[in-house]
Amino acid sequence: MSDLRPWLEMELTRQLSPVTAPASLSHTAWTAIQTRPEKRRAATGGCVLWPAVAFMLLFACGALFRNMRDITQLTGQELRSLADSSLACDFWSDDPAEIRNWVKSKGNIDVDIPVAHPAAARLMGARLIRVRGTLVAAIAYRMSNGASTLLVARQRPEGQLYEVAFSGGESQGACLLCHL
Amino acid sequence: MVLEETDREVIEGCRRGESDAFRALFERYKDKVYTIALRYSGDASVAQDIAQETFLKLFAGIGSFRGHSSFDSWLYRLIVNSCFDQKRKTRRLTPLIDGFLDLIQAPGTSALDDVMRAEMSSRLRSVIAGLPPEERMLIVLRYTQGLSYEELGEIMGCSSGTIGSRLNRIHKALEKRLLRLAGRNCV
Repeated sequence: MSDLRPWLEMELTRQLSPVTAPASLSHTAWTAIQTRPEKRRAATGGCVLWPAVAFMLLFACGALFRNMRDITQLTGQELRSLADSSLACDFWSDDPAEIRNWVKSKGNIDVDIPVAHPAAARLMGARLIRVRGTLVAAIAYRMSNGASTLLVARQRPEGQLYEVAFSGGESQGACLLCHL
Repeated sequence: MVLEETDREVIEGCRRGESDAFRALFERYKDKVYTIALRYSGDASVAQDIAQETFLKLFAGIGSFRGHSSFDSWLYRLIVNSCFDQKRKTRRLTPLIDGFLDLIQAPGTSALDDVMRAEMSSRLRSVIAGLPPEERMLIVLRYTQGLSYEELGEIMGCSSGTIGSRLNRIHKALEKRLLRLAGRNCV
């Protein structure tokens, strides 16, 4: 049996040698990572609290939108609340095209996403929320002095309805999203 | 194993939710993750599923990684868990030429020995596939990554001495199974 050991060691090393991951792994795994943001949000360490936070957010959103017809009727405080939670994205990306495609595919809302100056705002991602039954795309930005959420609702036949929520120091900062 | 500065930066970026950092980490470790998954499962499609699940767990849990222990050990544990989670789905390799060895078990010439060795090589993989999951994982980690007994002990949660004796036992079991297949006089 001792004669077999060197051959076995060599054969195990040969047969179990490292391989290169196929290109398809990059595509499938990366797509899965992009489309399962709930796992990544847990990376902030709040996985245990997540169900409670989700419930509170749902409750808050329900109260927030109870008496509202559309997103332009949100109060300043309500808009700030939305902006505060803007990092709770369902899709994380800093690519406007990727976000546009995601919002279009998930919510059938075609958003022409403003590309702000990198020094002013950084695109973080998007999520879809409901405002009294109307689907609204919330596009999240991280600004140097706070967070902003661009709210876009589909309104037929006029087209899209835009509103900006902002939390932070100077509220004029949110203007930088669309006005460079 | 100490984290390099670039690793720390990438991990910190992941914890901040930066897409570029996730991508960098994925690119850096995808071959390692896929290799272990493939060598463990013996099936390319299962290996892709395991690798994907591992990265999902990695990105979901990276906030809990504080850098006190080796990142590699932490990653290896994720891979091991993903492999074990997939074990019921893993399709074990079927012997390539069942019964072939039975036909040539008579004491052979050197040419026949060559045939036997070639056949034993092809059979070794199926023998590995027949090992219990933890033993198979030990062999895979040892020979795909060249990990030391200490590193294996950290990943598997036991002492290096235990790893050594377990590996020795596995080697003996592999030898025994191979010899039983081939006939003791042929190798």
